[in-house]
Amino acid sequence: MPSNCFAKQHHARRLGPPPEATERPTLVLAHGFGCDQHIWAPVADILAKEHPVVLFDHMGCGRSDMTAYDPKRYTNLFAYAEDLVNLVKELELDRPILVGHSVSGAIGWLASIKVPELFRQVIAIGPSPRYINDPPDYIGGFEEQDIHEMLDLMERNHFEWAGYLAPIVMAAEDRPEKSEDLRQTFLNADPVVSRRFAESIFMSDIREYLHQVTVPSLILYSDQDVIVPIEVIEYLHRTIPNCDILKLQATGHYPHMSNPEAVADAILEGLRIEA
Amino acid sequence: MKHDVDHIPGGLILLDGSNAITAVNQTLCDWLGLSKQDFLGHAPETRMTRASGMYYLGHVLPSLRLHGRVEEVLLSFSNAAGKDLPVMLSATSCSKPEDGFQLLVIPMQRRNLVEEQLQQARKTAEQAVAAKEEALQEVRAMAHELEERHEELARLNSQLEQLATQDALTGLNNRRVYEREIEIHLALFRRSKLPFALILADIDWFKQFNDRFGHDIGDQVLKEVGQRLSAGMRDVDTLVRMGGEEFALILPNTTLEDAAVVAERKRGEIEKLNSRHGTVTLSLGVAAARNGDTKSDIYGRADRSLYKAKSQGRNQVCMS
Repeated sequence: MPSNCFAKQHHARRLGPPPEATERPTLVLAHGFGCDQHIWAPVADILAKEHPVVLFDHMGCGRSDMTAYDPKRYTNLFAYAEDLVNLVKELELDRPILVGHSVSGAIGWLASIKVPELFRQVIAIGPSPRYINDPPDYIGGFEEQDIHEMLDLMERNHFEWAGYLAPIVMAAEDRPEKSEDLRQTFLNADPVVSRRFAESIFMSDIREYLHQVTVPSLILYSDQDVIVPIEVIEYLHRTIPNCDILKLQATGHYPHMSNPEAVADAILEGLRIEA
Repeated sequence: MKHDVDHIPGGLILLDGSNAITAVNQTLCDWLGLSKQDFLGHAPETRMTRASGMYYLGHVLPSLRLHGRVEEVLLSFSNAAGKDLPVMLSATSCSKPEDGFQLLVIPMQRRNLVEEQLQQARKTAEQAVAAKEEALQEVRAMAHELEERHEELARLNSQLEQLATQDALTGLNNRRVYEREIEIHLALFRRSKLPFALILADIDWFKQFNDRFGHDIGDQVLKEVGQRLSAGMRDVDTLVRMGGEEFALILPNTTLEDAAVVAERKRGEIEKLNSRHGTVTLSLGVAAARNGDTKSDIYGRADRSLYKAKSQGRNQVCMS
């Protein structure tokens, strides 16, 4: 196996100063469902002014190497956590800080349980350990029926992928490199793969593992997040042993997209430089 | 112009770069039974069904952000009364995504029914195919299991056959084999007149030997004698432990004289066995098939010869 195997598979990219040129810890930015590393662009640009930053795509998303996608393996979040561990080790990152959006918060925590010294901190933006309500004590925000409806919607909108991507691919043919990028993105928009990722996320329940999380954690959340209600944030706050929460000056489930400055500021303020 | 936009047969939503609604037209307000104020400043997914909100956030918004446009996305808004309004959504971003997006929605209640039916039909078909596949797998698994059971049965049968025809102590054939073989050889002899011979061999003084050294040593001697007797035999010959310390050899295509030579050779070999507990010797009686023989006839002659060998001092061969 070549030494950059995982980095290649996950299309890992580095921004900012090289880790050896600065005392500041490296930030690994992990995207959530339905997008890829591009979603971080505005936040990453701010963070990379001072910190080494690593961006990557989860397997099956963005420009990850679909030939490495094993449908039998990627059926739950543990596979993605394992990928994250492999990637950090291969890039020889020295106890970086994981910034995970949405499901990547959960993936980061699972990875930190697997290898407790992997991260010096996990910063999770709008995370959830379980999306489906579990009455009477747990409010996740959704009924199982909602999830099935959403999966149906994905299925019915299957053609949308081909619809918007195909013309762009055609138009970009005079720029082969750009075209190849898009082709890869297009291939990775495989509705079957997206559906499986959606299922492994929205059917997941990692509540039983949370008490094993020892890494210092910071949760950033915002108002009007229809994916993650405040009850979930409160649940995480009281369940994860070493966990702070911070409300962002932003709204919705994609604060890094809607209010990149607010998110970048919160990350920089919440960093644990020591340790 | 504002008037026109308010009354076009489509819902229009303008968003700023942070996905907050900055404007909405009257058509959409009417469809959903809401006022413009209900929308302004909120995110569009807050007016959608939960599933659609998830889909909008999980797919539509990121795509819009990354690719500048989405086309013909099906999702559902929720009206003031809590009823679903299925729509088709197309959207574009301003020249810079930070500046915002324009969303256009067209209701598609009728089309939605058709689509739902199509999806349901496809699901039913898929389930039927899956059920068929599962049934097929089950049948295959059962066939495989049946095959395995057959093999197991065959194996057990051959084991049983062996147990039924084998003497447990010496591993030699048991008396059942003798009964079967002697009948076969007599039948062959009647048809073909090919001679065959029977040798009965009995270990001398075995009872005393057993009494003196114990049954374990006795058993060991029986095993050794059995092994020695079977050495050098032809494939067609049959060696049997008849019971106790008595053995029988059926030698096809062998005359009385030839059988006596074989018997004498076996006697000599056993005598030379030199067990730790002293010399073991055999007395042997030989008989050959005669016309009209029954199995008790030939056995009787061999047995009498054996008795003669015993009474003449043991460790010798007699024939008749």
